[in-house]
Amino acid sequence: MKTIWMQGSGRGRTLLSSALAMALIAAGPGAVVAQQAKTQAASAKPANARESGGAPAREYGPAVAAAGTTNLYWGDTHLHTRNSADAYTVGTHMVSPDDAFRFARGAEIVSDNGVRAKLRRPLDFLAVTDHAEYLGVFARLQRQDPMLSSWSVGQEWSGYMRAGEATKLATAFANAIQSSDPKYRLPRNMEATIWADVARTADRYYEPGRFTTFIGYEWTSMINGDNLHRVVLFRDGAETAAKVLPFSAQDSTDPEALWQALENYEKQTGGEVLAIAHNGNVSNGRMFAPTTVSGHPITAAYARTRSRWEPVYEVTQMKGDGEAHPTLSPTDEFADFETWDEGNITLTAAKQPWMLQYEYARSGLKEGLRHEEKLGVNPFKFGLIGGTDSHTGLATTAENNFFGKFPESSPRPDRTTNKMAGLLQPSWKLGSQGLTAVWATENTREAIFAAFKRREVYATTGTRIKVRFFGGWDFQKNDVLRPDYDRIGYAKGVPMGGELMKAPAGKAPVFMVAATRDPDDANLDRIQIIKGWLDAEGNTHEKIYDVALSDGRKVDPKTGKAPPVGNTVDVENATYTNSIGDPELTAVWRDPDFDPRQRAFYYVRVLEIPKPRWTAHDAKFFKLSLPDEIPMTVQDRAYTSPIWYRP
Amino acid sequence: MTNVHDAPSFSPHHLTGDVPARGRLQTFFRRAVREPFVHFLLAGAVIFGGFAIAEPNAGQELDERDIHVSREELLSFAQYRMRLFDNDRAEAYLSGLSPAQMRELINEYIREEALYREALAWGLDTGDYVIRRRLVQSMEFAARNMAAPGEELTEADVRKYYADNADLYTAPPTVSFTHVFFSADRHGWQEAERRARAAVADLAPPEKLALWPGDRFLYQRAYSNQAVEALESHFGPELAQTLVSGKVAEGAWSGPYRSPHGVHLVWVADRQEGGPLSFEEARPLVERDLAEARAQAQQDAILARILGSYRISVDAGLLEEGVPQS
Repeated sequence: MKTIWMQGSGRGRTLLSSALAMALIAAGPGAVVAQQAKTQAASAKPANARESGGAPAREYGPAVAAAGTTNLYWGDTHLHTRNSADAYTVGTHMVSPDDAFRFARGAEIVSDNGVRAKLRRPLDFLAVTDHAEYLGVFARLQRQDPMLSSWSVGQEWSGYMRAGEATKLATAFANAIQSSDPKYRLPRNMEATIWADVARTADRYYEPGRFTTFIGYEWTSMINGDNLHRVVLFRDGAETAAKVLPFSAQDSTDPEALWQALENYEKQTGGEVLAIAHNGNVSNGRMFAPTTVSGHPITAAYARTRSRWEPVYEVTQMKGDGEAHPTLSPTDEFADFETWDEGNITLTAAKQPWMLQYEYARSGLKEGLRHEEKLGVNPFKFGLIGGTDSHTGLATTAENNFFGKFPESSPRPDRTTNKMAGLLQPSWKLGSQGLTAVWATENTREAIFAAFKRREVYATTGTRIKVRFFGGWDFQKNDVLRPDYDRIGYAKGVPMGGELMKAPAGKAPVFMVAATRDPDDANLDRIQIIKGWLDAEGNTHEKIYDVALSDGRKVDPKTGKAPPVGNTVDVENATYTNSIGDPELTAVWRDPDFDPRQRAFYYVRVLEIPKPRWTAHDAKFFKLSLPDEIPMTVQDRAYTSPIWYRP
Repeated sequence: MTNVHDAPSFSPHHLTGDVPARGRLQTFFRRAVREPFVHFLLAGAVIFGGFAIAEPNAGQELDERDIHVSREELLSFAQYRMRLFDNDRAEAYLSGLSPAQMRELINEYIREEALYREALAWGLDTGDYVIRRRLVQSMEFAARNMAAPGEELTEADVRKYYADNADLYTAPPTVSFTHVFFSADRHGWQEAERRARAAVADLAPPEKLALWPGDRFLYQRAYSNQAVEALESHFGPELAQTLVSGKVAEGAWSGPYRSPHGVHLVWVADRQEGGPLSFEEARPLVERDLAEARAQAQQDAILARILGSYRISVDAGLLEEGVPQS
């Protein structure tokens, strides 16, 4: 098929009619341009289409970002299709990267378990990140792709497939993936062809200003079953990204080797790339450990390297939420949210209590302060984002539209009672989450990638809660009432992901937060600011402040807690009402416990009111009576990237 | 919300063919379905080149009442259950079982095998519509995956597809605007309306506004090329419809208009009527759709070959009653 290059050389910003260029505030496709053809096969091109490399067919409308303002874009940075070896083996045979992009763009797709699927609201960006190890191989073997005919190991596998010798195939594959014998590696030219195809597919769906696609893959490192996976995202198009091959776990399982490979890519091509770690909760203490994989204590060089290549961390996804743990934060009544803490990713090693502090984001951020004090560099200075890690090709996160992780946890009557991969966690433990929200100047690869690098991003557990978060020294109560409060935020302070330094004498940092509910979802319960800091003795602390509460509630000064927002969920009917909570909440809050000598970070957590969990929707739809241990309500939330303070 | 939970739609099966005779095909399925990677087997092996099926375990007589449990069978059973195809792990798992646990695993295996065979012997698969649908689906998937990547799309092909399907390549009306907002929550409806009317009188154009009037809005200050669906949840269906309808003058402040949140003054900067996309605008979508249509056609051809290999007969009188023909 012809390669279709859709990216132009320029971007929307340069093509605007100058009359309106100056002061019109940027429009934001927070909701996507809903220009869809009346077919399930495709979503139509918006009116302002552009040919590749040329002038636009029609002029863009007035969509300029006035200096310093940003728009909100929603996407998933972590998605698998049939190109992933594990997805293919558990039943994802049909949904390809093409389908994944089309689905994210709003098209209706038939999932691999036969059910039609469609997003309520399309995404603004998507990265398809299939596993690097044998990427795309199974699908090609199964349709007897002639390119693979000269790869002896592949033909052996293909033979097993055709002869129905499944055990032999399973054995052979398991041996191959754990072997360093080069015959088990796919020949480089074949790998290059597959990777180039993956990259060009992403380019084909990239529409600058409308829908951004990222070329990417997942480096599937595990050490004795402890998770160290990273998603790798390229800023660049296929021409650049296809100059290198994905770095796989067969090359190395040490993140330092991965970072070296990323550095080589940038040096060799002039491109840009980053890595995103996730699922500290099944890393059994490795994710934010004080020692490296090779066993040495973290050094300044390591810290510099890590924070350079990993500016953000995927804090929430289907395999559990990684923000906080009830054991680490016993006074945080919201810490126990979609918690997975039995063991590592293969459940071959149980969880020990010492591991938790090195697994969860809040604790990791605190560890970062501790290391920064000793080394002068913070290795764990990460922003927070969310992804799905779906292996069905379908990036679904809404409680009433959850298509699970694998076909076995896609909508079907037994998915609330079956087990993930038979031996692992029960499927009901999967969370219908998460999403990445980005504040960027426009919906393009360059702008969104730049937002990742400066951490002006945040995570949600699946809904589109809008959060603006600024920190400074001079915000006033009325600033947040202004219609252009965001311009004030940028002018007087730093946005999420930024850093404040050296407090002016006698001043404490002031934070301005504005949160708005997802217009299609639940009201808000509260805004919290979560502070972590390092004291003079080198110990870390955390404290949670309720800075805005709905329905006129107040924090009780005696207990330090506010009354809960309430619960309108009717579990049996899987409904709730927005008769409690508020559609928007704001706060301008000064830290009452500030010590200008102490390193600190502050991030925002916004909670929705309770609503039915996907398990309750299943119970209603399939007429099930589920055991009591299965949770039926959920309070979705947003976690912003922190603002750091350096003395 | 959409009907994503609807059962997959399917057309009525109006061919009254017999159930395919037992024999080679069914034997294959019986053994295959209990192996791991069953999808590979069905999808990859069954359809290609006219049903060339390798006879599994050739030479071994199938005695229906003998169940033999070998280590190999147990390994395979454990891996299928786990869906974790790691032989070493499975070996380690089996070796680590206590005698009581091993007995239990073997019992589970035997139970599953016996009931499975019994179910087939009883013909329970033929009566079970879910199994039947699942197998049909697997056939469809297999046919889909057997379709070759296909030849290049020529310019002529693409243009023809665009012309034939012009109604698919249209864009709805869209609007680009900015707005000033007065919150009903903060002021009450009357006061919000009063403020709006007071403000609109000598309001400068957006690019000349030094101090932005009004209140903070929940969502955005400006919107670019948005169609009605995207605006409904922010402004309510009525105002959204008004905004895309072209009734609001361009290049001037108008209002006040009401949304569920309060009162708005609107400056429409641009409105696109929508309508058919030009060929160049639609080209990438046309190419994608055409490739998809071709793959679908190949799949249909394979399925048609299958259908054609059956001899069909219909009870007398059925067709006259108006049952649709295939």
